Amino acid sequence: MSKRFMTVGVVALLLLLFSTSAIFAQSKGVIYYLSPNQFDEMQTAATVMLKEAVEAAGYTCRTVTAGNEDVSLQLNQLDNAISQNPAAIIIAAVDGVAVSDGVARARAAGIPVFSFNRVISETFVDFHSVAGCKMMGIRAGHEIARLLEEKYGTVKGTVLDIMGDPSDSYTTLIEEGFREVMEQYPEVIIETKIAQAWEASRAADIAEDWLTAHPDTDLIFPHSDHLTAAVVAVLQNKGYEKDDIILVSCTGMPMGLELIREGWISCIVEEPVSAQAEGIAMFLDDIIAGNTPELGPYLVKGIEAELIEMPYGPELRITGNVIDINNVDDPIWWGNQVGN
Amino acid sequence: MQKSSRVKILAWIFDNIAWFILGALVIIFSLTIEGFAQWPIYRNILSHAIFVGILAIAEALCIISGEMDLSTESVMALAAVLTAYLAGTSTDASGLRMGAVATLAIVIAVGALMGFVNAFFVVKMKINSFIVTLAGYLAYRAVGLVITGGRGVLNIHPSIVAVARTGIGPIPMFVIIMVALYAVFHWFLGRTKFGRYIYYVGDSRDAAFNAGIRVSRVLFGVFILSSVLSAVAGWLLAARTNGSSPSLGMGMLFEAMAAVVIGGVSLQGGIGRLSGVFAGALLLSSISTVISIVGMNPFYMNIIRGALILAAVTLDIVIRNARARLTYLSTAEATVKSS
Repeated sequence: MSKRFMTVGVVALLLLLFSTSAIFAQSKGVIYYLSPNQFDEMQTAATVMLKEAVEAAGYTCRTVTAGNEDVSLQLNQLDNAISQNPAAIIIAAVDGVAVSDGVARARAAGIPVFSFNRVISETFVDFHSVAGCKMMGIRAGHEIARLLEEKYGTVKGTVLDIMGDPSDSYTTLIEEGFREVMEQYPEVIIETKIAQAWEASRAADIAEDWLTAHPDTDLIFPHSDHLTAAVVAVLQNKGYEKDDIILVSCTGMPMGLELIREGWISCIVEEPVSAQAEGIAMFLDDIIAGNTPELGPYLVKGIEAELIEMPYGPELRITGNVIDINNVDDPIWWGNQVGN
Repeated sequence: MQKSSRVKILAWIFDNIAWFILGALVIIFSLTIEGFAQWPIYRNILSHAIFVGILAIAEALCIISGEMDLSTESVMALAAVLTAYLAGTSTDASGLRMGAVATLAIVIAVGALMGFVNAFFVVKMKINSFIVTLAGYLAYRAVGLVITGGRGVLNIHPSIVAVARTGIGPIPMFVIIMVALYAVFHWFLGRTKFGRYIYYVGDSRDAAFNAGIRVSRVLFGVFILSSVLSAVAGWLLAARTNGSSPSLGMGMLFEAMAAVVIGGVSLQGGIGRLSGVFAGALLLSSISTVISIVGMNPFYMNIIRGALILAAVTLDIVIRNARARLTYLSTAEATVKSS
């Protein structure tokens, strides 16, 4: 009896092994994606989109998440990925400087490294696909100047600028681009506050305190839609009407698009997550084969992009577009591609 | 004034030092910061303290009982996500559109379950509460992410949001809820048998056991209360933000801990009063409000916040030592007199 069970067990195990080999045989190889966190809706969506894009390109994608932006955990995950000798590693770096040694180790082991969404500038990386957050800030700045001009006939007013966590280059680069534009408008008073850990109720508290002391504020610019949603809740609680204070946001989350439809947000500068993921997939075969991609303009998922050579390697820069009430339902926006 | 009266007054001041520090800071801020000295700002300080304030009650209960609960923030986050998911009208919600009573009942039940799980591993499996609740800290928020697929939810049922928008006269409902909770738990700790047992268990578990107190029952009660309070804070957080996002409430555990320490609760267990914890929560809220309304380089904000917390705690310790010395001197004086 036990012999028969053992025979059946061995046969089942062999069948399982054969089927697994067959699955891997169809794949061009395993690619690891190292995500920085799971508490940012954009990163959660990015992980899903990147996995889909990589698997559509014929690879098997394994994703791991570095807790809540834990750089030492991400370095360990990088070492673990290297030990599996994958076809490539894609990383959205928790810290572009701190992961440099790990990236160099992977490349030294002959594994191509792709940087997704966040720049790694301290070492050579085989390929970057990034949003150009500074450009997002510049676009937001131009939109804010336009909206203030529409209100006053000239660019002036008071702006409450709510950054996310200052350790995240996403928000600091947006800030850099935004400030660069606003320098041209000395009549605009900008007060910058920080929502630590990108925590939404902090943004709500900041907005409530600021509006209590400065009720004549013209515009609020939170750097991400989930912060903007909390600010909208404060405006609603305080009895503001939709047009009393102009809201400009970044990222393009589903909740942000919903607030445009409801009339609370004037415009959002999108972080083109879906196009960034596709940008990686487009160049996987070439980079893994050791080919050098051609520099110049590209169209990625209908969004204009440019492949440029940077000191740290080739960078596909895809700048997000401005979403407003006229184009909010366009399926091109990642916020319309995820969710229910 | 007689020496014993002076000693009594000094002892009272020392017992309530967190309130004096808070009062001094609010006066300084009111006199020196433009736009601070007005009722709406004081109202903001009170209403913004609610989440850290409620978590601090939960944390204080555990610490007084000689245990630790690191899962409070994650239970709060899970409750907020669950509330928004059940009551939300946006596309990423469940579609059930539940109202205030149903969602509050559900999150309280979920909170009680989380607290029971924590207590089971601490009391029955004899695992250190730091480790058990650290696991909860990691796991409970993640349960919320699983429920919503990591997506935010917007526009929850009006009956829930109304809690954040209404009040009695000029007093917001949030402030009334927070003050009521502090009053109830202050009474509970000081005037009920169970409350006093929490102190006894925290002071000496063996002595409490020898006195016939069912220590495990007390600890089960403390952990369940802690998680239920955290879940209520989460429900209120969803009301405040009219929805939820995956990072909601992140970092509040440490602020709650700071409020507990500033409020004079001993990390050794058995000592502490909620009135001091309340002052600690208000102190942190007033610092945040000041940072929000004054113009300064945002990168300095956390340095200032950290420095102020450290200053408050240091002053508290200095005064505590002085109080201990005062007690020693008055006891010595009484002994000399009697001999």
